Amino acid sequence: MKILPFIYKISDTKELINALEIDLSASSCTAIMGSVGSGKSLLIKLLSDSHLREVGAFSEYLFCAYLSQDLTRLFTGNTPESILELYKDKRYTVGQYFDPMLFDQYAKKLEIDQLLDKNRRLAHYSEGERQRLGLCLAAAVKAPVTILDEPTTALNMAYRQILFEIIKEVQERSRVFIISHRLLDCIAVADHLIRMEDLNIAEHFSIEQIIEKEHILSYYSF
Amino acid sequence: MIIRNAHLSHFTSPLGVNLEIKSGESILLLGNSGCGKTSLLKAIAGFSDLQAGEIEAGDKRVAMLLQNPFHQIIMQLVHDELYFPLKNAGKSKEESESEVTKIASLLHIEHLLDRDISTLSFGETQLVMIAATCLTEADIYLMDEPTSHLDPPKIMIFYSCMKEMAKRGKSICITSQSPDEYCFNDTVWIMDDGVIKGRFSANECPEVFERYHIVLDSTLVNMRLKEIAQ
Repeated sequence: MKILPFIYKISDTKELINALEIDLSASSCTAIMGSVGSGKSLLIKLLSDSHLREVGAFSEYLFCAYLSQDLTRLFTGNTPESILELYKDKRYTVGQYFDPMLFDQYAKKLEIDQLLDKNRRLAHYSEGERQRLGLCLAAAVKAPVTILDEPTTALNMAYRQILFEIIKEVQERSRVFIISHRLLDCIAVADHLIRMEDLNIAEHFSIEQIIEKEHILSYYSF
Repeated sequence: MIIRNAHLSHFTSPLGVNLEIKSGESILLLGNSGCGKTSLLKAIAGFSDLQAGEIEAGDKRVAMLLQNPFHQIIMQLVHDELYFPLKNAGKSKEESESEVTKIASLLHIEHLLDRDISTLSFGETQLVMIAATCLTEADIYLMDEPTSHLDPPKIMIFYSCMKEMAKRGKSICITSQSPDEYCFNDTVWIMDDGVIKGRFSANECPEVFERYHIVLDSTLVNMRLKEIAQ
């Protein structure tokens, strides 16, 4: 699977542009970094949204497990039971990829198993609890591509460390994309990185090369 | 504002201490996911009731930035969203224009003013709603994870804006998952399972974090970079 050179017209005055050809091998983990509004989530939307395939930004469009950065839009009004029913339903594509046992394992690791047993409406969950549920769902979908858009915004360090372990496991069976504003999230799990700048893919490099990227290291320090 | 003998809803133990939010003080509230940070802010804002205790606010007015900024958008365009609290407060067009320009400049969002909010990224929306919150005529700003979708330079811009608000005598209470932000605040409250475990000055934090096993992102980043270099 590759990211291909492309131009995506956002409006009359704005375009998302890539001039690079980037190889995304199986079992890879790609971190997408860049400032607020640089186009990180939009790049990944070009991969996951079937309506946008005609842009030709990617060489293949495989089924994606996707954790959105806005969890409440997905979950409001539902209970965990109703969501799991949908994920397990084989009539839907997600049902063909979802592994309930794997979900239970991750729920235990991220300590939401007891919370799920109570089957409270997700409107009553804290953002962190909702994010952990979303992560367990995305990680338990054995899809060829797994997209985690800002997966740690509401997680404390202990849960972030558990998530890093889970991502390593997921990576063995899927191409993982992680978008994060936190340098640690990117360098803890990724084997290569993409940096977005002003709606352009500005750089693509391996994790070993991060040491030489002083402009990036200084950008991420307070 | 004083929070006295408070016990948050859905938690088994009371907060444990009486809390005071002083004028011009910037407080960082740290704690694990589900420990009650948002519940405490919502109780202070009056969005939820306490199980016990009371909040003495006097004539202090409170504004709250919700954790998910999309939940408090009212208007379609950024500049309309920013004008809304000013118009509501009965300010003149000239006065409103001047205040919008000032806050947009403080938060570096001038280039977003004419945009439709639905076209903004999560981080941009967060900055716009921070600006809208600061434009309310409140004395206390409750900011629920305002930096969760911001990159480090934007986090610094946010805190320089908060510093300006504190100079104007506003009290600020911020929740965050990032203990690294302690250095931008006067006081840090550490919370666990609905209980305030301790209140510390920013100077005390390095020692306190060690005691509470709170690890900074920057420490782990340095460790990981060394690992990669080897």
